[in-house]
Amino acid sequence: MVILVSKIILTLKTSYEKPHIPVEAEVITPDRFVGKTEEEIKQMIIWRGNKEITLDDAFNVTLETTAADNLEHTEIILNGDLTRFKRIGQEMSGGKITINGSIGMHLGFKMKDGTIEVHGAVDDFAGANMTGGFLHINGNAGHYLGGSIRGDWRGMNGGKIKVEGNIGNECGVWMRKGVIEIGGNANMFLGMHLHRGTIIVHGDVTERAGAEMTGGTIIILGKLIKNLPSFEFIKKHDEFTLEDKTKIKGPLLEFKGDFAERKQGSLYLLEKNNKHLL
Amino acid sequence: MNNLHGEKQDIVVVNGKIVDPAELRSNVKIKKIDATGMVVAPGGIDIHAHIAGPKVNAGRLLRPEDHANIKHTKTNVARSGVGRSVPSTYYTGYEYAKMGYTFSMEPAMPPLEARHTHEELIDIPIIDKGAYTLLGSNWFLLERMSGMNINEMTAFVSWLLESSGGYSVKLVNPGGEETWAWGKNVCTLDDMVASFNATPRKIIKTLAEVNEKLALPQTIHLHTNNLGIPGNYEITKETMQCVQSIKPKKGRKNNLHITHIQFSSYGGEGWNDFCSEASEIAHYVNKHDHVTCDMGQIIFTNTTTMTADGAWEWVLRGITEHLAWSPRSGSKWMNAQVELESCAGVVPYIFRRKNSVNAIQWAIGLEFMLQMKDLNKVSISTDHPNGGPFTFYPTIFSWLMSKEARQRIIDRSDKGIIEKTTLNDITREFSLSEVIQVSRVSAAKMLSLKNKGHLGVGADADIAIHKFNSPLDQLNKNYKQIEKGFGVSEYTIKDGTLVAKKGEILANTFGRTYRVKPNVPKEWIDSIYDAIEERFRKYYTVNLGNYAVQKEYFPREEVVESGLK
Repeated sequence: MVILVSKIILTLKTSYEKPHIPVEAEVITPDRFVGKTEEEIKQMIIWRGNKEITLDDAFNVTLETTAADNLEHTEIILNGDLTRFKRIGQEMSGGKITINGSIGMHLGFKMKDGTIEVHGAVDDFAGANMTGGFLHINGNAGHYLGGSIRGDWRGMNGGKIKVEGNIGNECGVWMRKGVIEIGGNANMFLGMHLHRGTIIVHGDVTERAGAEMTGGTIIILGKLIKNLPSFEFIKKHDEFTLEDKTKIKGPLLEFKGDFAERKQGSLYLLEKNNKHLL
Repeated sequence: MNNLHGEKQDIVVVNGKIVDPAELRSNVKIKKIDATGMVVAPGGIDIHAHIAGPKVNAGRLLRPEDHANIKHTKTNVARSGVGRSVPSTYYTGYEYAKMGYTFSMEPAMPPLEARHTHEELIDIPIIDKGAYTLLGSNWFLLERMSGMNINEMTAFVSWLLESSGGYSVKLVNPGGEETWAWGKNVCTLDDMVASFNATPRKIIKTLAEVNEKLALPQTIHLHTNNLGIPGNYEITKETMQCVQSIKPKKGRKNNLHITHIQFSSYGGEGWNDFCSEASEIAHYVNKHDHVTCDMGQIIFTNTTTMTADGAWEWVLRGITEHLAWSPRSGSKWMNAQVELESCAGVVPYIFRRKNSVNAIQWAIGLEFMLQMKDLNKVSISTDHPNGGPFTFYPTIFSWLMSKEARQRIIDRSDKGIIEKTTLNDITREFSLSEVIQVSRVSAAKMLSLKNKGHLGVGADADIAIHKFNSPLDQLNKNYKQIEKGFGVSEYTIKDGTLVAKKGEILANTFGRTYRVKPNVPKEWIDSIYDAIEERFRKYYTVNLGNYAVQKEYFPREEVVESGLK
């Protein structure tokens, strides 16, 4: 069986590094591209500051293979340094975006379904307020990964984020559902205001993990340098089973918190790295 | 106002005023708008909407997420704007114009923040506007409540109204604002205000008397004590009774305006037996001519509550701890105190159909409105943005005009509506004229605006023309068309200029600011001037010289003069 795939390749023409003006590129999603001809895609508008530019001005656009109008099999490939490009994949509900290079803020904002694969670094607010889909980052991520936009008290609500590198502050702030998995290290305020959902960190965490959490689970397999005083040690577990039935080998130390809120959040730390907290 | 309902006739506008068609000379060039088959109404008047001032701005700062998703790009005429429940200033004006509204009043301006309020009002295009001055907990008045020197108080009120550029006297939880500075609240009309020899009853009565003595265009505009608390209908009734004997000024029958009455018509003793007492309040208002009200309807949506009643906002924040939509530690919130004058609070809130209290609140507003016999006594409002953004007024029209529209909400909502209110049994449906009456005419009367709220000769040419895709006598069966027709006007004319057509802004005109100039004998002001000066020297953070709003803040104004009886 031949699967028809429509592949749209966007290669950046010039550098948008300077002057430091962000580009609002929320049109770059499979939802907006599906069923469009190459010419139509070229004429789509993005904003740089107060200037309108077309995709044709910024990118070399090529449409490979003529496929049926099927969102599931639409793939967008972005090449080049896109650190000034914001809100790519906003509210996407299917298909795939592959990014070869680093990317700017609000990647996959309010994403509903589909996949975003990044081979490079990601700026702040990646996967903010997402409700489904899979965001895979082969590199480092910035602050507020899988969090909520400014002011919103209802953050990420489903889906999965996987980061191979390190991340910044306040990962998973106000998160309500879903899984965030981090291969590297995390910075301060991991899982702040966490309500439900799971955050797994394979590397080290600096401090204040789970500040003001009211539910959900944080698992740290590296070293948590400093724990908040408002967390209480409960007991030791040999292993922990995640929702998708994968098992994490222990022994793990279970803490409950945050006492400043309601102590319904769970913080699991790998014992051999975290004896200093007992 | 002119007792015209659905007659077909021509309206001639010259220089922003409506004139007699017979006076028109035949040789002048005229621009014609063909409104055949459409509904022509005076421009809408919103008597109570928080559209400008420090509290609204605090709401904007507190809710960036309200602005994040709603953006309006600029056009050749209109400027850009964001926001939904706390929209930016320009966008506020455009949105009113698109709905055919041409007048709106900001109801809570602390005199100290008058400058800020007027700066924002200047930035609201197209519509005419004004602001009410908060006087419910002013130290100067509270101190004089025990001596009851009415002349001094009258002089002070007139001085303060003029120096703040206000339109009428606003009382918010009288006495409660000052008591809240001490962490307490007043719960009955006879509670003492913290550290002053005054009670809410005394404040309301005195200011109502002062108001009528000054013959101000509007009565006192009152947000009752215990607002939002179950069982508060008793205090609301008591409040109405306590001013009954005060004689209104000439030309006006009422001496009290109770605003967002829905929030003051609650029965029960707690949230579990929370029920409607709208019939009780409506019965009183029907029987007595001295009270007028506005509705304060709630809409099931995500909104921002904001009021000068800081104590209530603190209570509301506590309530949000138990609601599913909010974080478990309660919604985000803010509270503020304005020196010797007032306080304020802001809390985001989401009204939900499946929440029994919210569902009953929704029914109370409609229940009250549908039981009113004389529609001159009521006006439509959502207490924007407390009950919901003003952009939902067309939805309220459809609920009032169509039993079917109400039934659709009742069927999908909590059963509390059927058990705890009488809304389900009310079959009354407003006619088109009645809806026009409660959204324009009665508000113009309450505000004593002679040139607004009608289309007779001499009126300002503020005209809204609406088109409905349904025969006008069958609108109650096509309630979606009521929403659509009123939601976007076919034409909106402000001062003779066509400002909006089918939702598109055509002209960015500048509306007037309405304010009063109450005249009292000069020696009265002189006699209190030393006392005012001392107050500023001792307590205020600003100098007296920097306090009053000067004429630069009123680039286009309409001064309503009033004077002692």
